[in-house]
Amino acid sequence: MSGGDTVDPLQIFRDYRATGDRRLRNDIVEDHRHLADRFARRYRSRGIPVDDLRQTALLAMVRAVDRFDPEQGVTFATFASRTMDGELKRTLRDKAWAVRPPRAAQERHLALRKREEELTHRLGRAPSIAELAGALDATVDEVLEAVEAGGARTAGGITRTNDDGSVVDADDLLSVSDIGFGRTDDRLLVAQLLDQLDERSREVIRLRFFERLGQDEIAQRIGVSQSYLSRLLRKILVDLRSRIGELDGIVGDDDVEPGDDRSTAAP
Amino acid sequence: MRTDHRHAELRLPADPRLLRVARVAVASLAAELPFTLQDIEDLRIAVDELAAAAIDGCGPDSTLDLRFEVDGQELVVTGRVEGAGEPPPMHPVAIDLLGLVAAGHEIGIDGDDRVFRFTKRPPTTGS
Repeated sequence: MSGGDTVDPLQIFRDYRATGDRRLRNDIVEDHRHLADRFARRYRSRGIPVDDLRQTALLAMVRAVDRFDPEQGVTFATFASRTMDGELKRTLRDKAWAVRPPRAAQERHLALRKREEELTHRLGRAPSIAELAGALDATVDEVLEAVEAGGARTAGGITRTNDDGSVVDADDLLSVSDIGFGRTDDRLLVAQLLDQLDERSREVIRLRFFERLGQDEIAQRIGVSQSYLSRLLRKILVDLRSRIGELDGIVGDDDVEPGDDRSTAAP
Repeated sequence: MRTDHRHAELRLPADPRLLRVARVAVASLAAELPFTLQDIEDLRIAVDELAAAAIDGCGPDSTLDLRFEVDGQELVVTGRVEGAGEPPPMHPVAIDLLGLVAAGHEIGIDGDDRVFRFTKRPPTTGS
């Protein structure tokens, strides 16, 4: 948008509110798309592809246009930035919840989202509206009203799919870390074992078991394909297991299949 | 609005301000199927965008006819604006949004009518 004349930048928002003309809304979104891209880039490398973040930001901006009140004295850029930032953080938090202890769940303050996450956890998939209504002891209409009012979104999945298509449940991931790293003696032994690994293997173990990142993100960080990372991880764990048999608990079956001793990684 | 077990029909003036009614209708019907909140959010956006495209450039006397059909486990949404002809080129943002939430949608003409169609299936549950 350019022009020498004095143009009220808020007029287009007023026109949109008055007419509901989606072309006006889309013009606004297009004019501010760079903001969506900027916020998407800000949160890249945190386990969600930047294209997905960009889509999240775009949808958040569309909602921001719908909600923006030009008479409130705040610029749209500020308002949209807050909306996108919040939405991206929520998306990332949901993603993080998929692989970390569910501390974030304690912070949930909206009953719908809280219950949705509980159900997602329990069912191993996102609940349907009817299931949510049942769990909330509410009518389907009331749930839909909550959706309409809050634009609630689902939590990310709480399972992770490995390269071979096998599904790893969040509880399994968490129990592995609790058993393996929960005891002081074991920690010392693990530290000794890790010292024997080369730098990259140590980094893979750190990212997988201490940072609890998914294989896809680890692969991205160290610059290898996910299938290669999967083989590499198995090789490292088999190697560790062979070094110290007493610590079987550290190596979960999620990462090393029984009898997988001959797993090898490409050099 | 007429409803039965299989479908609902909605007739609206071609006024973008009234598309909220279409959003509520599709969300209500989708709630009868095992859709998630995210699916329903996407459905609302998809219907809003397609319906907005269908009435784009139409005068206030035009009418948008929407049909929401539950076919097994999928929801089929169709729209028609009689005599509206070819839809104008879509805004790039609308194209992006529909690409995100309404993969496989169709919008075009049927005789002199402007029509669209979109099918949404619930995610496979269990495995």
